[in-house]
Amino acid sequence: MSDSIKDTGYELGTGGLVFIGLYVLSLLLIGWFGHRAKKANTLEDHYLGGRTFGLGVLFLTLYATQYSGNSFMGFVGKAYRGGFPFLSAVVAMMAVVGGYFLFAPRLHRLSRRRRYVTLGDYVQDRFSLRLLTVFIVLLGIFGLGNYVLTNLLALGKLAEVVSGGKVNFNVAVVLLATVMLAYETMGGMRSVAWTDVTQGVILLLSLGLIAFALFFHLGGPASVATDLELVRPDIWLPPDLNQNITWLSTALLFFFGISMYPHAIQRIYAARDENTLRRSLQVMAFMPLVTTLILVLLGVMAIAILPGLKGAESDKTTLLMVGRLVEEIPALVILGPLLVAAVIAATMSTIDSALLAISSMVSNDLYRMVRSDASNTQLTGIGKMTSIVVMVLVVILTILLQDQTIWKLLEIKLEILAQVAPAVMLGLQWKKLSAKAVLAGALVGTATAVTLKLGMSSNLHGIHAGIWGLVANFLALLLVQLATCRGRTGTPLEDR
Amino acid sequence: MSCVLVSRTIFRFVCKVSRLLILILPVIGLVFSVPWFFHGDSGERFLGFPSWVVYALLAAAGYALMIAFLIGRFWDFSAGNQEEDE
Repeated sequence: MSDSIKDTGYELGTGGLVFIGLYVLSLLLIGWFGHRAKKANTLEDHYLGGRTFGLGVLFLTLYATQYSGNSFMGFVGKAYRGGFPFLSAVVAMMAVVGGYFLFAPRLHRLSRRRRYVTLGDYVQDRFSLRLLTVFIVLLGIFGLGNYVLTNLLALGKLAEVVSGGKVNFNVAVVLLATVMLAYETMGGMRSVAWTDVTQGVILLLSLGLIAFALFFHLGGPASVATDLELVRPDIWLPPDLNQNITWLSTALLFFFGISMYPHAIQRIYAARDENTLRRSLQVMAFMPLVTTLILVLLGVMAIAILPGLKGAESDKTTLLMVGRLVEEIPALVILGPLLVAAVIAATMSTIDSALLAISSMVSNDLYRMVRSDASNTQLTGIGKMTSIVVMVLVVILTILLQDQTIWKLLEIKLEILAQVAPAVMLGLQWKKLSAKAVLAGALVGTATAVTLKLGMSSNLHGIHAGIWGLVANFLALLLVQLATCRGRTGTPLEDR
Repeated sequence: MSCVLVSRTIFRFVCKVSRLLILILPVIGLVFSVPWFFHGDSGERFLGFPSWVVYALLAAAGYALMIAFLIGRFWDFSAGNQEEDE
């Protein structure tokens, strides 16, 4: 391959762009295979792939979904700016799997017996309070909507940058959104998971090449230690108390927030059996060591290799470092296009999964509430329509917002999703927990988190707004639980 | 008779407490993953890293091991009784 990353460090040649184009087209082909493999026109088949995912598919879809484009670009930029203290991201990503341990085993068993398709199914089945179900579903949709919007924005900007302006932002957004929409509506979760497999493999391959270049060619962080100490002596100091509190707060926010992503919960339902889910989660616990850690080290080493990057420029550290690595090791010429494909893959796998989860919540949790007699075919159709409408809306918003500082409300994702955690984690383990207590907690927690994030201080005393919200959530829940003290165990789904 | 009742109650209590402890272990592990106990640069380096970075890396690896062990060994513990769901 004659393609290379040019002097700017992040612009691909024609061959590289063709490689990316072929990769994107191959996703359509996989989507079509997913469509052909469909066994029935049911919600279970469309949104959970018929609950047949084996170890390889389940692990790779969990992996590709958990690591977004932000992990590749944002984490490296943050490590460049913050240095070693950003190692907190490694344990924070592990915390997500720690969160699963609290609820995945029981939720998976229940999902089999009660035929859950969405997070809303569990909430309605457990608490039998429609208001609570609607509120939790709306929190999920809001969080995921923000997630899709910010990721699509990043995807468009990346395409524009790596093509050196040959591919216009608007064209890239529309084109990639159309591809995602096409394979998602064709084969549902099966297509999404199969494309995740491709995307997961590309992520692992590019990380392997980066690790090889960092450790075997550049000699690892030890080789740049002297330069690092000269350029940034501050990063050698251990974090102070306030930074340590933020470190723990970040890990807790990931523990309670990311584990609550509705698309991640659907993957727990989609596992073929308990053993498959258990093994996948065990492997996932170690993935931050070969993903987040490598990216953090890439950012830290870049401080010595590419000193002086400021602000938005530092967010391109990944691509600039890859450009430097390719210059130094010509044999790694594939690394440039592969890394760009990996970032696109990570972002697309996150967007398509989130979009599918939104469409399932609208059709299964909201539409079915109004039309309880709707057939599986009608519900699947409504879900596909939802995907199209949501994607069109998101594309329009992305194009309108591209040159603006993103509205602060869009930054609220984990803060809001963390407020769902008591309903799931406590709801599954605490038999007598009442619906009213969970609703009160979720309302108070969400109000606290949003108020702090938008108004007063998003990191009061070093603690994230979402964690303050969770504390308020738990206190309100306890108060109402003690005051009412009556459990609602819910009715089986088939009786609804 | 009362002796049997007391011992059963104690046994149930111990079971509940140990279950709660195991379930909150992932959160406790996060607290220990933070390098709270390091102050200032001691100048010591291990493989080019300052000691608090080595601690953070080892703690992260230990956390991953603990989570994998909990998932492998205490899966049923977290899943609870099937009868409770019926």
